[in-house]
Amino acid sequence: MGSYLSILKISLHGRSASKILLATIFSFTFSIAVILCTFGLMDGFDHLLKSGLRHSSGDILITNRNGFFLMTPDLAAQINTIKPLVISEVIQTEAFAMFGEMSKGVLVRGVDDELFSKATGLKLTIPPDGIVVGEELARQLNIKPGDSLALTFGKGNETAQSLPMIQNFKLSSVIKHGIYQKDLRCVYLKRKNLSELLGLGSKVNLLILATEPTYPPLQSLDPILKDQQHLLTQLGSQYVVKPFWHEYDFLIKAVKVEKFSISLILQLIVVVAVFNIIAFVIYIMEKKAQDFFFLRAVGLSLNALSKFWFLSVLIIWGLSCFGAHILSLIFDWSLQHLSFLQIPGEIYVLSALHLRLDFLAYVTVYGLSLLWILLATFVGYLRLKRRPIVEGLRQEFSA
Amino acid sequence: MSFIMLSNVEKSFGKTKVLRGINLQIEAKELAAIRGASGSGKSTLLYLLGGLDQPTTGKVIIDNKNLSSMSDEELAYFRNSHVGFVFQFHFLLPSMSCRENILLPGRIGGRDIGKVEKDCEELAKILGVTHCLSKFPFEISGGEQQRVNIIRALSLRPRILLCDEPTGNLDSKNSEKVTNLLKGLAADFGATLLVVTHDDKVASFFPRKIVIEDGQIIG
Repeated sequence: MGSYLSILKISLHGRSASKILLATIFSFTFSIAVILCTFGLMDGFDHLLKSGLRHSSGDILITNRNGFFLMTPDLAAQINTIKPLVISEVIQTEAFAMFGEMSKGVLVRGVDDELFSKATGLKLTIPPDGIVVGEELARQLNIKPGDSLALTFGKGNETAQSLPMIQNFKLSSVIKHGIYQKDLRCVYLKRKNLSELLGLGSKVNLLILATEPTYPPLQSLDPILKDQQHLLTQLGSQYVVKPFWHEYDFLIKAVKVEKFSISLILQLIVVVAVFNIIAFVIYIMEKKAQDFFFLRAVGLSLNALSKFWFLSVLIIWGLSCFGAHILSLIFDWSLQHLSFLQIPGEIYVLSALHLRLDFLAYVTVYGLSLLWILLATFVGYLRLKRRPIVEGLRQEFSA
Repeated sequence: MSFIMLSNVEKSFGKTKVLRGINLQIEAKELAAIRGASGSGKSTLLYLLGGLDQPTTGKVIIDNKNLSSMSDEELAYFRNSHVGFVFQFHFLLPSMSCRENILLPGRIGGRDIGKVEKDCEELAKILGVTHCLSKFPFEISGGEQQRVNIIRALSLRPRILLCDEPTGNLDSKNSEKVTNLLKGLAADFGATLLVVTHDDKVASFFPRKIVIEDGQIIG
């Protein structure tokens, strides 16, 4: 340890050497942090999107090609072969929501709030004549609980069937889905009420199934895919069976492709940091070669020099990784707390995002950075190792 | 068997032959000057004796150890434990105090630093540079730097003290002083002293002179 510290002291003697080392560590730290944060954002986006979708959609959605259908005992028995936790019957239709001078196209869902809540995880409570709307819709319409919201359905009243049917509802509460588009479009009312309004009887046009517990969060989507495949076979071609993410499948795939592409592009940032490291190595080689050859002359073996090199690289890498971790935590905190860093919901669909870094992400980023730094410094080390002491002493002494 | 034995030693750098068929025997505690003109190969010979380089052919045997067949690790240990170097340029590292400079070979060799430090204090007292130990090299004079350099070379009590033009930068009066100092210290420590010089006057202070010309020993 004594010899290591002595060599380190010699290597870092001079204000410029320490400054260059600090700058090198900082640039490497920053590069690793950028990659970590990008991975974290991508994984965070992916996770938030899926959990957000699941939070408001259940696990499996069943529709009928003919539109409305009855939940017959036979259909229920077929569905129960996958032993779902909850089956929620839903009537889903489109309407215009009007409040004051504002109007919006909305997706009206008639649900049994208790079953629907169990199936989706949304905490939905609808009073008998009340209505619940998404948070963003309420914001855009500037409507508050207690206000009356008019819904215009495509089907007119009995006496004026060609005209739209308008019905007023009292807004009882506002709900947050975690998905911007759902917060903007969804309106909930009791299934019974919607069924009566549309004259549907016991018919529904959507079944939402919860097949997996809401908590802990799903690590793999395979069980849901398996159940979906089973139901497809069981129910036949008349029914359409889809997993909860199908609506945003394109987005999830896009995120995966983007993550891969960006990780390739981000290697450029690492390369820039590696150039800094190479510059530092060259600087040390130029400025301290005399010292190193002198140390070799008084008994420093190549083995000891290798250990010094390897330990120094590990320390630089370790400090950079630690710094990058701290920076990623700061970035994550900033994402949550600084308004100017929050992702615009209108663009990214999701209103809140945070970094999500799993063990594999850390291993990948830190492992690759170690590989880069070893490669970058190895060239300098080899130069020092291969040069004979006498040649080094002669050249350095005569300089 | 002599303490230092060179048999048929040749050294080439690329196509250039620097040493040709050197045969040399030096006894333990002998004081000798290696004299020759610039480019004659005297420094190369010194480096071979110090384990800083390996001969192209031939054997270098010191204290019954064949340096030619040693690994880098073994040579490094040999240099640290057996050899003290005094170079023309004192080469004290500016990042360390004179004391730390002196202790550096001990630290590299993993020695008992307390003991090395004690020896260094004694030597500093003998050479009159005690006041320099806590100072940095740039804070002391050239003569003091050379004496600190000599203390560093002797700090691990080497069996061979190799000096490459140690008086190269000194006037004749100081050259004589340094030469006598080296001789006295080598005798006190029981070390074999080999001094490379191109200066006939410096060589004349030694009981044995090894003259080298065009890579061959001629006297």
